[in-house]
Amino acid sequence: MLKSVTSSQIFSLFNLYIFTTVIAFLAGALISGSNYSTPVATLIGSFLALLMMYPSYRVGMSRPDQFLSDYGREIVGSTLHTIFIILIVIANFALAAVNLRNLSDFLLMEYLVGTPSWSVILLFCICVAYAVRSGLPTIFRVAQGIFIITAIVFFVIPFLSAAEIEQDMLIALITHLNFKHLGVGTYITTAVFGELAFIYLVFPYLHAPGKLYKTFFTTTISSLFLIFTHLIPILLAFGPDLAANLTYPDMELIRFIRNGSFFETLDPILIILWLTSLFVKIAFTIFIIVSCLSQLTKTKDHKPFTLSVTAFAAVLSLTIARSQPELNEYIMVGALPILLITEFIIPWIYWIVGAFRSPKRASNNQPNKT
Amino acid sequence: MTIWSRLYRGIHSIHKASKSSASSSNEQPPVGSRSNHVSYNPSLKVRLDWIKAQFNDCFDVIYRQFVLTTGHSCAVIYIKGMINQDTIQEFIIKSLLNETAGLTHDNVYELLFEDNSLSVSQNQIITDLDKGLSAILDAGALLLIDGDIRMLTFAISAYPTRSISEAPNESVIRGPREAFIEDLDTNITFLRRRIKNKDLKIESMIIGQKSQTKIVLAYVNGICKPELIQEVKKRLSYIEVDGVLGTSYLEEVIEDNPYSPFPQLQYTERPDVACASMLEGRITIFADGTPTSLIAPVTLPILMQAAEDYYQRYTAATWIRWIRYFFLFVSLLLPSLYIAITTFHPEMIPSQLLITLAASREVVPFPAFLEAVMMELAFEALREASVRIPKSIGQSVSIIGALIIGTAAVQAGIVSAAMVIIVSLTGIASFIIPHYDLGLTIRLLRFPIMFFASLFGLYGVACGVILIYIHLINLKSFGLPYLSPITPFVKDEMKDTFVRAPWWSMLRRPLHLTRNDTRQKNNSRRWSQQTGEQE
Repeated sequence: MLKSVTSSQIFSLFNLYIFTTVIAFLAGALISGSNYSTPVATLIGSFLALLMMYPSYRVGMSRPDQFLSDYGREIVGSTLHTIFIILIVIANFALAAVNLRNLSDFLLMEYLVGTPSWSVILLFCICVAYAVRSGLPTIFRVAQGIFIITAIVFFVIPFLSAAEIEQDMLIALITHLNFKHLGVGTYITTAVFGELAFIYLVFPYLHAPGKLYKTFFTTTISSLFLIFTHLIPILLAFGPDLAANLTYPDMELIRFIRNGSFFETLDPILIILWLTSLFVKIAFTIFIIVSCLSQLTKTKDHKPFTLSVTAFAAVLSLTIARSQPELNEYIMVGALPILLITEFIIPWIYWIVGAFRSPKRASNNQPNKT
Repeated sequence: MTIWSRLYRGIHSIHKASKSSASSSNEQPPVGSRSNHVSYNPSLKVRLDWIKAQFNDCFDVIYRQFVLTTGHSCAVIYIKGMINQDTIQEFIIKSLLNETAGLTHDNVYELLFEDNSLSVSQNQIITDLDKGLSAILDAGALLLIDGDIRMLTFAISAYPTRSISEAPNESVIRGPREAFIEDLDTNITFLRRRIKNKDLKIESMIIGQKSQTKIVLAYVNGICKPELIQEVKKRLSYIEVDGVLGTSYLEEVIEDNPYSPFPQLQYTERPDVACASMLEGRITIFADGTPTSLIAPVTLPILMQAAEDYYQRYTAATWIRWIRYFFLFVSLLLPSLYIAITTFHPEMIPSQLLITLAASREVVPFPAFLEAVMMELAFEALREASVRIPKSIGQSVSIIGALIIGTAAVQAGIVSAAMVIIVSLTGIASFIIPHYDLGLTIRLLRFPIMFFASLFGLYGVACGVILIYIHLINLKSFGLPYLSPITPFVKDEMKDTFVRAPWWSMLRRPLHLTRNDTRQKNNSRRWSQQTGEQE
């Protein structure tokens, strides 16, 4: 199964990975922090993430046939490497728990009122555990299969709400640019786009690792495009103040759509789209945890960890916060910093130390001429 | 008698027997054969007694004994009804009597076993009685002659077979109509008539310790991947059952995932479908006595293709294919979506329709899920009954079930009219799926999704679909991903997946099935580029 994940599969998975999260759950937080500067902040954040991901790509490319969890100790020493891997596991646990919680909160608040949250998470985690147990290529293939339909629907939906958009406000995206506001949006989007970097932990699965950075670039461009097709209409339809106070502004935008007499509202369709995209995202995150743990404990197979890790993430998602504001606080203060550390700083350390040690090792390996 | 004299006599008799057998035939006695001790006895009586003992209580085995003019006793053994008795009489017994008239004692053996001058051409010389038994059981005749351990077998089977008819389950409007029958030789002839090429290879093997069923693998050498042929042979070689009475016996043993509800081999009763599959690099498996052949490997898009697709115009075929895919989802999801939307998401339904639906459900005492399950089960029962009962009353049962019971159930307020429409539409949709086994699978999977829909609404439906989707992604048929070429995505194969491209544009064979991908060396319509008649 190694060497079986193609560039197009990476493109599909990471597109779903990024635009779903930003559009579905982070639009309110982004607009709250950046107002009319949100699109520009997203643009800067995404390219900053792309730039900062380069070391993770270089680290992966240094030994594309090996897992970082295996050879990392040769670069930074056993103790530091173990600490880094544990940090990555914690960051991914936090990420999986936040996404699971977002999903269950959304469903329980809008559609499944009165349903126990554990049952909603249990059903979803059964799907996730099945995918993770099947392996990373399966997760990528799931993403490839659903990408086209999801992307088309995500692209079309804003156009259906075109009648509600105040096009005169479009100029505000340029005239109301504010450097102070750019910071928050950039901070959030850098962390979200930076999640692509975690692929450096599973490099041996990639069919063409050399093309990975190019894929990162195309993924960034295409997901930015889809994010803009939603973020800009949200801003133009609701204005920054109202949009910032909506929990799910994109869903409210879709509720604006009045498509004749066939469908009264399309927003339950959104559940399916968000669900499938979130599913691949959480499955990938859980796989990263499982893969790191299996390599850390030198277990040959990742499968024994699958159920326990998924169950732990499920329990964490139920207990991580008591309310939506507490969850937002947790994301901003707890999850994002640890994500930034694990996505960017740890690969930077591996890269720099590796670069210093390589010439030294090369010189040590050279025969003594004297 | 002392012990020493007994020992001497024993050794002497063994030595004598080995000497006589060596002189009568140059062939080495087969090691471990059950009939070893009798096969090398030239006495007709001994061998005939042994055969009679083997066929004890088999009244249909005929032993025809006769004496030639040279004084040799002979016997022909066959099973009544499996061969033409006139052939035995005319071309074996009579011919033998005529040919041997006036010959010396030893010349008879020369005539029979060296000159091979009997009128029946399909004969074979054997010395092993076990092989003789197999020949008799395989609708042949066995000729034994006193004084020689050699025997002749004649392949003169003439048992009754069904006449060739139209394919009852894969009917077409424009394509060829003949279907495979139970007779293996006829089925192979169908293939040979369509692919007149030396590369069409037909390999056979026997499976079934009691049934001794002949299994045939057919493939086109140079197109079919050698590793696929080896894999199929390997899996078949592991089968150790007592009987193979149909290809489905093989299917369950050789498929990749025995617990999957999805069919992992295609079956067909149409020779043209089998030939088209072989020309795409797939392998066809036949079993004697079964009118359906198995084709490996298979993918979900292949199961959604019908033979008719390739006989209609490509535009119509593409349209029908879209309809088929749409109704695949209708068949799987429509009742679940109805339950989910009416129970959890009524805001999706326009108010006018919602009022109509609410009015029709007002008198129904059951929740939508129970109502759907009742109707689906009733529909399944009707369908099963219409298959099992005699055709003459099948139509009446369908009419009574569908119209009278359906109408009565709505009028009695047991089910709503909307649910009857949903279940009927779902039932019709399941018949649109070309592969019957796939249709069955979809019908089965509908129930767990309905259950999820009743608990979690559209979220439950989505989770159910995700679980099936992951299963399909993991599923393989002889190593080929079940969802290929959709995922893993192969762009060039889209020409014959969701659409049916015109023949002249399909220059290559499916790359995920074969390595020899050239179907047409050049575009067959290049004449139009020369004459400018394309427009």
